[in-house]
Amino acid sequence: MKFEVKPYGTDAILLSFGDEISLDVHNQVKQLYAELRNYAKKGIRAVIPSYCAVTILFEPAVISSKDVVELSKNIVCNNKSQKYKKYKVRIPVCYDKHFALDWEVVCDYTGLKWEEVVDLHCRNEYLVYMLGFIPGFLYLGGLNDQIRIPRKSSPRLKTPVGAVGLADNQTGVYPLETPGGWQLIGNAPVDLVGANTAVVEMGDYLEFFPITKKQHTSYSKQIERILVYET
Amino acid sequence: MKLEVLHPGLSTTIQDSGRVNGLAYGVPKGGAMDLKLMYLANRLVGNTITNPVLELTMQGGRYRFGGDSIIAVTGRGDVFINSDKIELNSRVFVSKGDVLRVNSGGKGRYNYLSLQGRIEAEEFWGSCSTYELAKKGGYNGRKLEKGDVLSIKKGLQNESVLLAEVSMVNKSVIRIVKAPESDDFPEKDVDQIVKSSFKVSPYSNRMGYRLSECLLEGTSSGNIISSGCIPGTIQVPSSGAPIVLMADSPTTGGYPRIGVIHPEDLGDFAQKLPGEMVKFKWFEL
Repeated sequence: MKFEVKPYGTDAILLSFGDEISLDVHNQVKQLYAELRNYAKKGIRAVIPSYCAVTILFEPAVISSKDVVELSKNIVCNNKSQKYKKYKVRIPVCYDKHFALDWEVVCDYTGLKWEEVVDLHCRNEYLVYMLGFIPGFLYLGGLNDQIRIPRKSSPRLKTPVGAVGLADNQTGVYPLETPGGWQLIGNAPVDLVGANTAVVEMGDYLEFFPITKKQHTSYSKQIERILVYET
Repeated sequence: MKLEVLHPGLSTTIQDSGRVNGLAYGVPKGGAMDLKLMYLANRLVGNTITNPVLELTMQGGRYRFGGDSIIAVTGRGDVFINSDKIELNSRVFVSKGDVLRVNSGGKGRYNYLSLQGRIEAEEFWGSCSTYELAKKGGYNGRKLEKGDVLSIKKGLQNESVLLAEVSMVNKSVIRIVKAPESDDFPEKDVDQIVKSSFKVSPYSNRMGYRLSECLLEGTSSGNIISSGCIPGTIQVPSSGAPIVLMADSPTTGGYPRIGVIHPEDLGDFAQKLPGEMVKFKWFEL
């Protein structure tokens, strides 16, 4: 797969794999991101992966942008040697109407019963395409079409930590209290922000499972991240 | 040594050089808005240059020293110890009970206070910078309030600089460099961004500075698929009013980027006050 090199100031570049969101592009981004992180001592300061691109911050005194491009080309060309690991993350969600502030709107819009909405939300496996926007915010792919619903016409001024929402073809968890326009369907008692290491990585698979209000109160905030297989 | 906050000013936070290890996880870089002045503040008192300092915004507040110390205030403001005006950008000896007062005096937005040693602060993703949105880092993840007491521990000492020359005049023309979507903008916009003057809107903070007075046409699509952004990036949403991403800006964005401020000029840009005019010029690599 080929990338296009885009200039980005004096100490960054962006490598773009086009503008189509797909699993193939995602895997390519993931591999390049994973490999480039091993070059911290050779002038690669940070790598930000996204749907179809990686933004690379480098130390111009240590490595030139030309050499960053060369390095990236070599990584992309040698991707056969890449080990592939699949991690799965399970996120507990309390779908109690106490947290599901927009349950009525969602039922009206989709024509489904609440239990059906919950079932469809928990049934699919989601792919973490990228993280961004705010700490620990996951961009997930794989939402069931039957529970697609547009975002609210005017956003809430405050969305609580852990709120789980739906918006168009996306679903996700608010890791911090922020304003937000998603239709809220539950709450996940987990810490997605972390303090020094990643809780969830791009490329992880994720599933939601229902918990009771009582379990929600006593949940440890820890997230299970399981290695599913390695090739 | 202790430092007591008598008046916190408009917004005072603990900042260092920021964090890059969380950029892939949505954790912004953070850190001092004017890095050069932050480094200088540390050099003047002999600290490691990336030590945490206090970033004082406009009206900087009043602070009492709980012991004898060596401090420095860098920036362009007016600084007093008790009622005596002291020299900026130089090393100052203070005694127990002395009160420091800082005011930007309408010259720049940020001043920095360093104290010899190391301010005790909470780390978040490898940096002590305060990140208010997540309520993490620095002093309980928030700006300082009246009555807060900071502890300063002895730290590694280097040879300190006695006095440093800092230009009193803000750089009037800020250099900008090409960003990923620069070539997608109409030629008219690429010209206009360096021909026009922009006004720094009152809606500007550590996350971003909005620019007004001049609208750009923007790219044909108006949006891009979200990708990683760096501080200094000039985004152009469909309204045509540019937004400059600053230290606490989100790590990814979906607006086309016409350019990015040269890292050496970003601090000078950050110093622009609400209502102040700014001009850009293209810088070729």
